[in-house]
Amino acid sequence: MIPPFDPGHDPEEAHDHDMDNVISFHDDLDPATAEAMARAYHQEVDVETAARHLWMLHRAGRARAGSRREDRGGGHGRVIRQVAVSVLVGLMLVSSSGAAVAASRSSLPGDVLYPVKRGAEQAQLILTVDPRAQEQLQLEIARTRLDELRRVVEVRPEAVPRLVADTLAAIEVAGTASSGAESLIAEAEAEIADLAPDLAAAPAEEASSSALSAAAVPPGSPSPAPSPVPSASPTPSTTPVPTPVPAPTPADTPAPTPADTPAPPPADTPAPPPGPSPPAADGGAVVPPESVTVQNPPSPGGDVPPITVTPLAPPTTAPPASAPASSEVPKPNVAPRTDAPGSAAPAPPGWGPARGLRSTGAEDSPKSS
Amino acid sequence: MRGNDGGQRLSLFSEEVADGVRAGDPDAVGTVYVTLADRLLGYLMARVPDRATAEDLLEATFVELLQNGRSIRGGAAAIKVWLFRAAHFNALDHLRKVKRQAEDFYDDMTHVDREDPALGPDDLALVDDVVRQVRAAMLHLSEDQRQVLLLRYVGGLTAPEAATVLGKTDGAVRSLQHRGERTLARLLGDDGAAPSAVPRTSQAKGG
Repeated sequence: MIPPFDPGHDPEEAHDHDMDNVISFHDDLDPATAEAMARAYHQEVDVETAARHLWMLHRAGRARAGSRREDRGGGHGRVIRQVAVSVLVGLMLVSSSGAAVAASRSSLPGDVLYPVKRGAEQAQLILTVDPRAQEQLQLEIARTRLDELRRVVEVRPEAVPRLVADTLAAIEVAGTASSGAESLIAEAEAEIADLAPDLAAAPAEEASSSALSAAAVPPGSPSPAPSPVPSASPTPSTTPVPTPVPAPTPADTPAPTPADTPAPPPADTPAPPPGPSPPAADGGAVVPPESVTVQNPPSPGGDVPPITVTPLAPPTTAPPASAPASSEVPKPNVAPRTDAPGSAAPAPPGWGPARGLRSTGAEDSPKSS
Repeated sequence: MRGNDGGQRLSLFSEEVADGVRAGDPDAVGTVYVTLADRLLGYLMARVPDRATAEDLLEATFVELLQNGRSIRGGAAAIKVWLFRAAHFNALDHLRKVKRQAEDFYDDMTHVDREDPALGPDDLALVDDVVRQVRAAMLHLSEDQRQVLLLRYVGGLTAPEAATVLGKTDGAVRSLQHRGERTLARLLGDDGAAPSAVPRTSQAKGG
């Protein structure tokens, strides 16, 4: 849109164009005045206000999108909210209200500021455009996880399982992104095996099993409970009728007949994740191909993968991550290993739509030109 | 576009973001917010008495950007100018409204402790002497001069951009700026806040 600097052009004109894209003081400003004005009028939006404003913006955007086309529905809000949080953390980084970020740097899982730290990492990833720098960043993040793991194992052992999962996920992402991760991976594996031998193998196992079970659902293969053949049921079924009546079988759900209902009811899938964590199969289906999906480690695209590709992706490419929705922001404290570890949202508690939505009169805007 | 401003201070949002703004994408508007909110807030707080009002106006301005982004012709720079223009009018609107209310209010209450219209109560507690002096000196400038100085120094706009916001010509803005700078330097020089501020520089035009 704006042409690059063209030295053959009228100098005044070229100068203005060149400076157009840069916020800086121009050389027709008086330095003394600049200093005085900066001191007197420099302001920074504090994070809470920015959170409110960004939330309002996204609400307004959603309302607008909803009123114009309904078909965008579901995933839209999730993505928006997720990006809103990222943008917000980006603001914390950009403006120097990054005190919280700085303070969060040494935080550990379970600390109040830990979500800020994680969020800041995500924001950094988003704000990094250069792919090589992004790889570096991912490596760094993986290293940070590993470092946290070393420290947390002493002070807060209950946070270890979750962190092991996160570490593995981070390493996975770093490994797929860059080639320099081998040593880190080896180091991490040794470390994890050393620190938490029972956990080193378990998460992967669990992930693969859950992936298996999730993958087994769609084609209509029988999930554990329903028995396709009525006579095979352990109950002494006295009815010789070949149609399986759901009554006497010990299966807690009505067993589907293989003939008339080819797809078993989804209620049969073992342990549907109760809250924000989506099943792994869902994630694999929705993620755009170029996004780094993490299948085997137990964080199914939880926090890292979706943002690695397109920071401000069109809202249709819904990442499988748990959207940091207001009501369901997962507490990062103690997460039992059994509930899907991918539910680590970069949202610190308290950020969300619940806070004050002062709507100033946007409609009385002066559009005189 | 992205590459050619390598080492400079703080680059504005990209043209992709500008496209998003024109498409009404809230995320794009959010990115613009991250880039420009501080400057806009500084500008608005110089215009209206208190921080809360300035923050409300800031929000309203960005919601307007979301709603009316389609009408903006041009890229990132045009969006920046649009925002300051919207903020400018929002502040004007608010001040008019407040003035009307105050006129009714003064009928009832005879005294309102508002010693300095440019400073809200929470600011008064914080500002140091220099800040107070600069703000006080700014009140001695003409309205137009003050506008130009705020847009250029606080908002970071170029002279042509400030001219667009205020609906003035380039030359008018430049001369308002110079006179404002001179007055400010004289006032502050008297107070010793900004000793021997050079009244005027003209090196920008030379080459």
